[in-house]
Amino acid sequence: MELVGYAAAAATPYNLLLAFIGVTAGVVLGALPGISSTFAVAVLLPTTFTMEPVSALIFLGAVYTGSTYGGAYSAILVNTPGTPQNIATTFDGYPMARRGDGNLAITLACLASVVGGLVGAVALWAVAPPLARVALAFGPIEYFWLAVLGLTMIASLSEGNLVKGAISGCLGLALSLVGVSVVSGDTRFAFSSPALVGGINLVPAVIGLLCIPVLIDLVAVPQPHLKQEGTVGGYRLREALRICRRGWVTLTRGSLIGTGIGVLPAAGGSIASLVSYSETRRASRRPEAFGSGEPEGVLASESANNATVGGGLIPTFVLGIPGTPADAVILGALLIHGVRTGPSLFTERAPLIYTFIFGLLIATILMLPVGLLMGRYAYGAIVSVPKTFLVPLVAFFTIIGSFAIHNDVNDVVAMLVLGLFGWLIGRVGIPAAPMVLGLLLGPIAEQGFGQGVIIGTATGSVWAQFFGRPIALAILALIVATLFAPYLLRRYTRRIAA
Amino acid sequence: MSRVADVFIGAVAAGFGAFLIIASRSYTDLGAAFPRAVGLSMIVLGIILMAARLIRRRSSALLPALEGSMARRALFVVIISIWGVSLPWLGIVLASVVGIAGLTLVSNFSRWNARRILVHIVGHAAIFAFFYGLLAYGLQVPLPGGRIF
Repeated sequence: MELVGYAAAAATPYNLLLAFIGVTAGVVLGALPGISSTFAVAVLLPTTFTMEPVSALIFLGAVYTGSTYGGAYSAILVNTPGTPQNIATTFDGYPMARRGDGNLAITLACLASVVGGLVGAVALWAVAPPLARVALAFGPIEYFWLAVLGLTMIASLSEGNLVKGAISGCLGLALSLVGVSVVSGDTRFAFSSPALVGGINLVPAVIGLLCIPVLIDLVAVPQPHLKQEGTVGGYRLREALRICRRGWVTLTRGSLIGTGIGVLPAAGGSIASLVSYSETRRASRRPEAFGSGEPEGVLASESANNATVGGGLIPTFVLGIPGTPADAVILGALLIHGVRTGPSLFTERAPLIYTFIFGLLIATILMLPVGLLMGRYAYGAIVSVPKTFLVPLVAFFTIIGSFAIHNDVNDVVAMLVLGLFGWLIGRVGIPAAPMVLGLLLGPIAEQGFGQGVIIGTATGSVWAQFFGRPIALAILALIVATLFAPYLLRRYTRRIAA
Repeated sequence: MSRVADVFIGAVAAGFGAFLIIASRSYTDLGAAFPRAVGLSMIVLGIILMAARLIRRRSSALLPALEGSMARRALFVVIISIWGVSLPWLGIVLASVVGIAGLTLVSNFSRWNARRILVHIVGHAAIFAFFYGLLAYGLQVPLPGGRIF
């Protein structure tokens, strides 16, 4: 009965209105390249100061979930992830848009985001305390192996050109080395330039590597940006639902991966969506279709990144450790409203937390009509806008998106240099996507590795640290399995067929 | 891709890996461990790429031919670079006016007439004003102000 009361408290007209406004604002902000979910939540935080705590939480949760989905628009339509969580959505979303299926990709992204968001929110409701305890067991070694698991996907993203993909991944790792080392404090590869001491920031690098090459090729030919002739209009909801029904395993896997990785402090939606994409590709019967417009690629990425919304709130609420950067802002909002987080939060402040969880569920469901409607107009606008408007507008956002992260023109320069570099290496067959992964995972891998070595040296056995911890061994087994399972499965299938 | 190009890429990758290892000699052991691992990986990958092309005598997957105008591509790079680099001096408004005007001309493939020019000026002004207002006043994003203007 108590739960019915919480649901009713979440569904008051005022809270419903806040959830609607939050989702709409989140989708709009998330769609703008360079405006991350963290930024979207942070920029709207002051508007919640006068609200009741539960209304403030529902509003911020709605902004967070909406912005995570909104990033898919620019990822699909202009190959520029609106937020880092949508990097993997570009791999198949943009090829789908180029062949005239952009509206289908957006509808799929919306459905997958709703499913992922619901699974994450239900996990927050059902298993928050035990999952948070598992997260606490993750030390530097486990994070190192988790990053290695992420790096194994570099190979899977580059099938047909495996070595060049791996070289691109190593280039990304090399880029992540620039600046002050988080482990040793050495200033590395900065060449005495103050601009490089802070390192290469992820967002300008992602914008440069993925968006600028598209713009460079876009201005060179008179053909429209996305295919217009022969495309099917509308939402294509039935078709999308059919694909979702067929890809229910992908949706489930993506949602669970997103929730699980979201629980790990500082791992975040970008890693979750990449791991989910990689695992879906490995498990697929036609992995070669991924990267050229495979709808399941969009499902995998978008279900995982939205599942991290609920997953990330688990350690935030139970341990007071933010699961993602946006959760840190929500944690700040809780403190502003006088709510102390901790294991007892779910008992002492049960009405607040459970009402918020129902509010998050409502906001996630609201994302369906809001997302579909806005997605349709975004697709229509991008398809019909002439290049003479589209190119300057996208270029404006690449510049502002890179600048706004740290108010630093050096980030704009880095974005432009990496953009040109991304176009050049693309011309010699080296894909840019693995480089983005390398840049993303490099610091996590190095920090875990460095701290593991320090702990191992202090305790007398580095090997025991890396290969003697149960969770680390489980992740290691997963790495080995994901590397060799598709190969062994193919051999087995061939033998059966023969 | 031609075999020669692939061999060249392999050599560059291996050379870059060697550079990472040599450069990391000036760092502490802890700070040098990861760059060395990355450098070693690049050397191994570069050698594998070169060896595969030299032994198998087969080039990697063919890339689609480069379509369109190289001059437009070059102009795009020049204009967006000027736009980005001039931000600290010209400020966001003036640099964007120059950048938007330049990129509109570069991405245009139709004949200009008075009506099209007017539509583009009014359209770009409205779009820029909307996003500038949203970012600068709505979202309070600090936008670059110019030193000259």
